[in-house]
Amino acid sequence: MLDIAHNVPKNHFEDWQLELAAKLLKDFDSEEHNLLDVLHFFQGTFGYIDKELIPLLAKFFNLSRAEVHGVISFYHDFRDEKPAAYVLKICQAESCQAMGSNKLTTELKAALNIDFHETSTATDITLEPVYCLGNCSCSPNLMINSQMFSRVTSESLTQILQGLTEEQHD
Amino acid sequence: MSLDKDIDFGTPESKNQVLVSLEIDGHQVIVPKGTSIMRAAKQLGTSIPKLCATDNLEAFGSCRLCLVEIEGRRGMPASCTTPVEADMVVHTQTDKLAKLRKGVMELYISDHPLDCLTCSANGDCELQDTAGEVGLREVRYGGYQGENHLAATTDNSNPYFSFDASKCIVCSRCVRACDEVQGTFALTISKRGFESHVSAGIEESFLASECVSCGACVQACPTATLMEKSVIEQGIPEHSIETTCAYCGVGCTFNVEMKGEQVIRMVPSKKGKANDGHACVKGRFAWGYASHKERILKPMLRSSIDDPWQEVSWDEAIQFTAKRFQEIQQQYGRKAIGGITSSRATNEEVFVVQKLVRTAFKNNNVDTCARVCHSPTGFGLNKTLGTSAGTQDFASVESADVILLIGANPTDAHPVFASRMKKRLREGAQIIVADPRRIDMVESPHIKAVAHLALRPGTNVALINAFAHTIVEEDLVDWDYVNQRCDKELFEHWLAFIKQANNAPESVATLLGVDAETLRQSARLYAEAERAAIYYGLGVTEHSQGSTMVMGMANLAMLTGNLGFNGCGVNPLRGQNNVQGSCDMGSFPHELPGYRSVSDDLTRQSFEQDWGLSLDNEPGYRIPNMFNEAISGTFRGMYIQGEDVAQSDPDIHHVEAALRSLDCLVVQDLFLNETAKYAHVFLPGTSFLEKNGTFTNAERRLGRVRPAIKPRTGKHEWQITMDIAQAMGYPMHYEHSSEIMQEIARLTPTFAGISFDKLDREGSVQWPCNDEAPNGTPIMHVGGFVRGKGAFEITEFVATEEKVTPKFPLLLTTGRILSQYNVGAQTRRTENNVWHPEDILEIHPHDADERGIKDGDLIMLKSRKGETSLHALISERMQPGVVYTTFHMPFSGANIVTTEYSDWATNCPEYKVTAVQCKLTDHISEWQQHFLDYQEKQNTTNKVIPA
Repeated sequence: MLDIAHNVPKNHFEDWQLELAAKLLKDFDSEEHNLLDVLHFFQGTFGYIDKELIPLLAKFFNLSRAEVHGVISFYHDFRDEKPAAYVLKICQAESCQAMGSNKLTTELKAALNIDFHETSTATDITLEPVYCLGNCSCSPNLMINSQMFSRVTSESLTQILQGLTEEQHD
Repeated sequence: MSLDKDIDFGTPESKNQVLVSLEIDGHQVIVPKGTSIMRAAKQLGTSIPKLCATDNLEAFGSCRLCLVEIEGRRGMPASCTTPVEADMVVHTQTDKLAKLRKGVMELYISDHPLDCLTCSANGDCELQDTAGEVGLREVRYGGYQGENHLAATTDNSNPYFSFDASKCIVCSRCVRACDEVQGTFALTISKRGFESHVSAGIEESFLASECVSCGACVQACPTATLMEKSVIEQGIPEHSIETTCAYCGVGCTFNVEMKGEQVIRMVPSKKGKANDGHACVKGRFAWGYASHKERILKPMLRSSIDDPWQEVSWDEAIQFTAKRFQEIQQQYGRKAIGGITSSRATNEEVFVVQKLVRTAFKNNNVDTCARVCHSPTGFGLNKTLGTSAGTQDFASVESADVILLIGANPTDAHPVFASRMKKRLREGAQIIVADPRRIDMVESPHIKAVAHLALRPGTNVALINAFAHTIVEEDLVDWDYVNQRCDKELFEHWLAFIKQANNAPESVATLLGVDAETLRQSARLYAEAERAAIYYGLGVTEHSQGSTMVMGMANLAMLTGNLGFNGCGVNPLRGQNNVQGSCDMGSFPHELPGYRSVSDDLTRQSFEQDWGLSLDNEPGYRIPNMFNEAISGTFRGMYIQGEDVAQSDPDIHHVEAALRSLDCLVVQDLFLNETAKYAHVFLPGTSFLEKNGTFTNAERRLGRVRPAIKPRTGKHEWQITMDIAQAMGYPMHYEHSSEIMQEIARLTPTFAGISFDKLDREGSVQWPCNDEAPNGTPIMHVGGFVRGKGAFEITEFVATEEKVTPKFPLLLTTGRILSQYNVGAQTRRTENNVWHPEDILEIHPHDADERGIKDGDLIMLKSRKGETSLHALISERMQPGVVYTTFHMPFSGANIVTTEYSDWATNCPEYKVTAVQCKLTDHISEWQQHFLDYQEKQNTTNKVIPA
């Protein structure tokens, strides 16, 4: 399992460009209910939702700036700045807590020397809390980019981090 | 919040016809299906505690205070979101509920500052009231040791209200008011849970956000979070007077909330049928001009227009005026003097001015500023339908399925009606917009026109003919309607005309700049709708074919059976508060009150009997005639009531030359306006807060204007007119303005049933109001037309003489902006200037690029008539080849550029089409320099000399 950490693909995001966003947006249907899909798409493309995107989306979906901002800010998953090459989300929900995720979180923060929503430049990891990854039977869970790690222990956590760091030196 | 203690039912009324009976706290109540339990309880007189509910907003169910118990159901549902059901048994007050409500309230107060005694909402706070209702006595989580929002900052960016986030309970009422009532969607709840908060735009200040400052959020706020700055500064008002707004033709009903003689705030009244409890930035907030330091309160005279003004007594001013006018008449004849009535004055004030002209002046030289705005409406609708007024009430839009909006920009010029229209569009009605500019009704949050017919200025008639041609050609005519209600002969004649190939969409597409298929689709949509309504503004009337276009729209509505029903009609959005009324009151040189010709002997006789003298049976001068005659020396004296012709009328050089030629110009106004530069007598007028009378709005609704304060000048305006009449030898006498209305009712069949008493009783009434329609007439032409059979008029398109040339390759069209009103005399003396400090020139990027123009550059705008400089705004709202500006600021001199062309029937000026050139410049125009020099002189050597 731990070898897999070497295989976690790094995030590769486009640099924010309003013109590119406008071009990409044309492929979508402007029905209001597509707003969330479009937000996910842009976060996947640019790594975050740039503030400049909001008026563009508002016009496209025939909404106000306020409405689009309301939707984005409601969801913790949408970021307002570009994350590191790895986004590490550690579960804080009941099952994982019961299986020791609080302790893991403390260790993780200490190891990376950052708090939630911060980025460790040395390791190129952004740390985020998450509330349930839908894998409670294998708690505690964490996710790096789109790769899930389950039944994580202090030992395995260290190895995971090592794996990520080593990959960077590759 | 407001002083207005109208009952708040918590949730909107259900329009369902089915009735449901249920029991609440042991009492039976019968309400329409779909009513909330909260509303049903309130109908019984039972108040259920609430914070997030109010009856002009849909139920939201977020505050969790309005919980009730329903027998046979588990839990405690929110009464605002739970609809009634037959035989339901509801308990609103039980021990269990009391405990729960107290607990919820305790949580609210645990994060709310306990500064009630020094809070601006003290005594007018729903949070405070609700805490009292639930019997909150202690807060166990007190001390604010935990996390809280008490340090949240205040946004003071809006000039009229502040947003104090520390007092916010996040009930969303402001957000929902902005969405549901105003339709701007400028606010949102940002983030979630403990972090959730109200955000204007993207965490912007209110001023920088999409907010249009209508104040609906301030009114909806149950705490002091959103509060008028005037209340913060001066405290809660103690009494309130219901009146009618003095801005646009919507005619909103307001409560003027006061402390003694001090106006504290204006709050729109729920009882107002024109506005339904809503208001805009002008009506609600921009009333400070009434006490502006530039207001003139004493009469003034000067023998030459180059002299300084000298303050005098009322008596001296009146005698001087009468003497001058009489001397002129002795020397130059009876017709050498005349007057202009104001569309901002009350019906009573206008009535006496036209009476003064017809009696004391002994001629018919009276006209009104409607000449320059909606005179074609009066002419065109009278000719085709038989009444010089719009056909519907405003509420009719709530039943329209398709709206055809032509040459009107309601979000700026008639904002409260625009909110109503937008609400209907959000419910699913469709809109077609015909306008050279991409206005907000084409595209704005939750509004998208099915078609934007961005026609070239000056081609309206070709457009409406193409619609009619399509409808005839594709056999979408409502034959039953036409056969039963319209004049057969005129229709056959018209049919032959409209079938001509030159009226086909394909023939006019290039001329209009709109493709033929879009025209056809739009025509089909209009014709096939169950209920289709036309709304229009000055973009229709202010053309050389303004009257033709009005008749063209009436033809179209008759052709498709869209007159005489709810949801349909031909609806002018009239500009000024009392432009309908000033026309109704006989302000035209050819018509006595009620649109009856001066040459009609019977009509004239009825007035002659009442007024005790014989009247001239010859029509008098229209405004343009007055100016022309003044320049030629035969017209020498003029009485102008509340109208600034030297700013608002076209071709200002010509207007100024005319005014300069007069021997005696009397200006009655609040301020020394542009026209007053050429005046010899200045008679200070009263603001709407001082008036006692009536205004008639665009839906023919007469609303009362009640005096909140005494006339600051010492005289009502009708008294000034009366005094001049007396001084000139005509015994005009009234003790009270209500007597003037009695006279109007006595002499005008359409107003026969109207009196101050009736208006005070009913709130407002739409004319005709007489024995046949004792409660007024919301919708005209029901069952048949006022003129008998509807008249189809030939509407041949004739292009305006004003054409682009290599020298003047662009077309200028003029319009309005939300924050300013007309010549700006009122609004630019308020804080509204933060939104619009100067008139700007909108230009398409392509045209700007060709001329090397960038945003903010100073541009010389030049026509064959004159030139003026304005700053540029590059805007994709424009179409290439067309530029746009407003005329709110005198210094802009927009009307220096406009031309002498006018409507063929009514002389309404062609403001909407002027061939111009735009060039980068580094200096202001010569006229603008003169303007500044005059101002300088006024402030230095020519100061007013006190009495």
